[in-house]
Amino acid sequence: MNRRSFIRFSALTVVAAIAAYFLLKFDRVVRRMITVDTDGLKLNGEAIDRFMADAKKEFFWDRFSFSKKMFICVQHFLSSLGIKVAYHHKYVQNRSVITGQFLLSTDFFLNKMDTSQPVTYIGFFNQYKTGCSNPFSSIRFTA
Amino acid sequence: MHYNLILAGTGFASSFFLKKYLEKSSKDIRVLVLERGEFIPHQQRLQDARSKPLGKVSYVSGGNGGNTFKNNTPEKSWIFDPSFGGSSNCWTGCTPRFMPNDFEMKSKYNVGEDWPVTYQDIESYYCDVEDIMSTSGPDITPYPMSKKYPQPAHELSTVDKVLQRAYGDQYISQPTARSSISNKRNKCCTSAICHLCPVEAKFTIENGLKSVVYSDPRVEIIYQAQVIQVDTKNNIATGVLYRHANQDKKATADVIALGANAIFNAHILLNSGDTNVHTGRNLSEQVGYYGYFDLKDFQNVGGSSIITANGFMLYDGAFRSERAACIIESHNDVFIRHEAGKWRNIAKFKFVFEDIPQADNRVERSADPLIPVVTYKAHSDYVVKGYDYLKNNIGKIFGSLPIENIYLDDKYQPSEAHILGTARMSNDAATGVVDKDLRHHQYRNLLVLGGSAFPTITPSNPTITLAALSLRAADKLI
Ligand SMILES: Cc1cc2nc3c(=O)[nH]c(=O)nc-3n(C[C@H](O)[C@H](O)[C@H](O)COP(=O)(O)OP(=O)(O)OC[C@H]3O[C@@H](n4cnc5c(N)ncnc54)[C@H](O)[C@@H]3O)c2cc1C
Ligand code: SF4
Repeated sequence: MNRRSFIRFSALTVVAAIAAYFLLKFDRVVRRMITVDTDGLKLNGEAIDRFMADAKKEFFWDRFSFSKKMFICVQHFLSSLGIKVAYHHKYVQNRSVITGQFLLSTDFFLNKMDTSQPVTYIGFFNQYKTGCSNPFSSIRFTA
Repeated sequence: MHYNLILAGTGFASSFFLKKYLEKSSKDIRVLVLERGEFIPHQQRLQDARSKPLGKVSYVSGGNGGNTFKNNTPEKSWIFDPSFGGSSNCWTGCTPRFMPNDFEMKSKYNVGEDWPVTYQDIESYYCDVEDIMSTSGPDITPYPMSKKYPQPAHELSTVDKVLQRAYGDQYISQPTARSSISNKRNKCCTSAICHLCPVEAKFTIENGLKSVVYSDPRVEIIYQAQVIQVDTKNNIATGVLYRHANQDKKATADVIALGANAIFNAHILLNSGDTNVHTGRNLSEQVGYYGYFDLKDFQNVGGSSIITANGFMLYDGAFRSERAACIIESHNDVFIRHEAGKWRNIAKFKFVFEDIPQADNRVERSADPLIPVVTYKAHSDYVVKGYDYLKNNIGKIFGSLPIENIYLDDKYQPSEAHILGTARMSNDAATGVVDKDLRHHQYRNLLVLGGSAFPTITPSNPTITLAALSLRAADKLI
């Protein structure tokens, strides 16, 4: 192996290691984001565990490509240090999708976001199985 | 067997044409419909989606067409459903009409082309399509209407109400083929997965026209039959060559109509030896960007459908001589903000820009007569200027909303799911492929239906217009 290919090989190994490190942590990052975002809610203790187990069963994270998972993990790491880099708002949007999917799987929105009520996990949110399930529509709110 | 009519495809273009054709024809005519895909009933599609883990459900339940053509520029995707009913199975059902000036871009704004038909020429057909689709919409619209929408308008959201107060008839409840009342279909209840509506609220060919048109005893339909080319002799179309059950077969007819969408219509024409220089060229569609608006102490709730409103504030005016117009869609799916207490203090809009078709974006033949090749180099600078204007003025345009932050995407969506151009309408063969009645300039008994005929690309969704043109084409033919 000459010097140039050695450097290339080493760089690739480092990138792969970082990627693997962050990817392995994606589940933990998701859990952390949901925990922080729902801090003020009266969450039933097992809700996040059940959500994470169902998300795995539903292959939900397949909707997030490898690069998107990396992006979320890196941005999450930086923002937890108070650093906002380019495309931070895209991280915020992805985080909102994740926390949204969690909350939609509970009765929080069905109770019209009433923070005084306990929040119970009711099943992984799946619009194909439950029609008319948009909790912000005219069925529940008058504009 | 010889037929009066051979029709390729069973999407909007074909089905609306066939409806009018049958109404105006005698009892003893015979029609052959060749559909490349299968009939996959809606309930079966839904069962399939429900039986899969959520992450494995595909967006277009009849396959997204990916293996039916070769994409030279895969960063630009083209999605459609190549099965019975075409993309009516997966469409969202947004049905704003075009604006009268959309048909006169050259004379009004000196860009693009004029259409050989005007808004007034197709106005009554718009009304017919709206009846057939049982569309809902408001009484006041930015375009003139001789007849009210058959169903009442959908409910606006709290955000829409603010914008309607600011913009009046330039901001309306979205005209749509998603029912606002239970009538021919169930009432839309904002499930927000219209590509596979779980409550059968949107119009599809299956729920709206299948029993009327395809059960007619004069019509014979063959599934999994892909039209490859139109046979011609002395400038007359005599029949078609098609592939069915791995065999090449032929059928003859007095009239042939292609409703296979803008990729396949052009491909069939090219396979048939059509030498018109415009055939296959000007493949185009709109260009869409999302914008997310964080709202201060203001909840976005109460809308009654997936897209609640259309904004026409950036749609028409003298500026179109310089930059692209845009239609605004107010979205109402289940998006939230992750910040506690601000959950639904957010609005989501889509900005959909018109484009000027580019001749280098095109459909060509490959070595395989079943597979077209698609190349899409770029959209025009006209779009870029329209987007730049929006970016620089977005705060002002939405100034009536209590805005905390605006995030306008800088990347456009890979597809608007509208496939247009490739066999444009014109007054003569030097400037286009078909005439205003959708008849091929050279082969006068060959009709080319659908969005392939659009000479310019308007901001509004295309389907109601292409359906109106199909009704008109059949009306003029007989
Ligand atoms: C996800 C999605 C959402 C959309 N939402 C909207 C919307 O809200 N509003 C709107 O206006 N438009 C919308 N559209 C676009 C709309 O669906 C199309 O404009 C419309 O379907 C075009 O109708 P068509 O009949 O020309 O083509 P298609 O619907 O594509 O139908 C073509 C038919 O021809 C068949 N076919 C193709 N090739 C051959 C061949 N060689 N031989 C025989 N048969 C063939 C196909 O199987 C199909 O049945 C959407 C599209 C998608 C994919
Ligand atoms: S919004 Fe929901 S109910 Fe309405 S048409 Fe779409 S999927 Fe169906």
